Amino acid sequence: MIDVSRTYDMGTSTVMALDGINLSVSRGEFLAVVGPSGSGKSTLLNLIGGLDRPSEGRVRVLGSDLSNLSEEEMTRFRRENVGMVFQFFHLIPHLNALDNIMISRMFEADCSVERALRLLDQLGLKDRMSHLPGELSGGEQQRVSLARALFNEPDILLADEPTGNVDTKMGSSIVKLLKDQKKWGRTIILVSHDMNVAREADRIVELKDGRVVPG
Amino acid sequence: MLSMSTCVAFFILVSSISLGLSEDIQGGLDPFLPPDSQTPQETALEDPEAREVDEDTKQTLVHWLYVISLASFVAAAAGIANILLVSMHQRKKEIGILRAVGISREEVGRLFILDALWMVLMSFIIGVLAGLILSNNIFNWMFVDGRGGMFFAPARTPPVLVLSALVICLFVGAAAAYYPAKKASAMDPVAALRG
Repeated sequence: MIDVSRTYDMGTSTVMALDGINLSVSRGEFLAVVGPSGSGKSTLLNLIGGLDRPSEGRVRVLGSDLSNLSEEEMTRFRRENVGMVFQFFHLIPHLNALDNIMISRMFEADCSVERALRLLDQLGLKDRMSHLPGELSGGEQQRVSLARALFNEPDILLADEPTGNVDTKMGSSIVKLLKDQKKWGRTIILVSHDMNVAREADRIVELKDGRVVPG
Repeated sequence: MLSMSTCVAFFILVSSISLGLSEDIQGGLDPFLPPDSQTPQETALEDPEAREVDEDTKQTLVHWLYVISLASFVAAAAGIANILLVSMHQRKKEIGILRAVGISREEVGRLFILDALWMVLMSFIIGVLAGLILSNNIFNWMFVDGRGGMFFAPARTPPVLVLSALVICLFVGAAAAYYPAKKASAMDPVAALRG
């Protein structure tokens, strides 16, 4: 990220979510971004994940300048390169665990059910595949969310407060699962305000008021 | 969905009566009349002038019923569009999730169109069944079959009529879904995820 700023118009005022961020993450690195609420952590993830565009500056991910991509290219970038895990799981309530995992390929005929089943098995959820999200515990829902993020075998895994809505034991298990992804060469960027979670990462970056706190 | 089913049933009924009526006009009364069923009213209509006036009245009635039928299709389309708009707001987060995992704007729009077409197809099936019962059973029993009704020919529902009702339904469904689908596909994923 080079001199990246992101502002939002809120009626008459403008909110500066990120202010001149310069950040570089190596391939295969596990980075934790910490900071208080409203420091711009989620905005940072959205920019790296191609969900949002910067107001100023450039975001280069895997050799692509995301600022220059068309809407269609950005969608393809997300589908092929990024896996996202959210604090509130964001599973589709009327789809079972298996269908939630395969959702990104719902319009494709060659959607690999075997891969989804393998992921469910690896994450200890094989016997829960036909359950709806409402029938799963918080930890199970987060593991389904992780399986969905891993389904497309992405190069980058972005996790926005993945342990924020599960108990401590399950939180540690989720972080371990994320960390395990390093062996496949995946870059992991985790956002948390829990320092115990962040300490599991290779490097910690702290954000405050939309800026990187010099460390 | 209920309003769409009603529209289809009404359309089938009106068209079936209209088709029966046109055969009545082209073919004359005899083929449809039971041998001993001539009422005084029917005897009067053997006079060509009186018969012409009677057919004109029926034709006008059927034409107006067609107008009502088509107007109710427009109302049903507005109903479908409204349901889809409400559904779009309820499913805002779901749209955000789909966009976040890499579903394109066009594919999100397609989902809404498919939802509408599914709704329309269900309405069509219910409507056709109701229309067939109304025209070929209830109407024929009440107004034809020599029971003194104003129509002499039974309602007719050829397959092409059912097919044209399907085409109208699909067109109405797609047209009604267009605006909600466009709005859903234009949603900003970050804002949608916030709900």
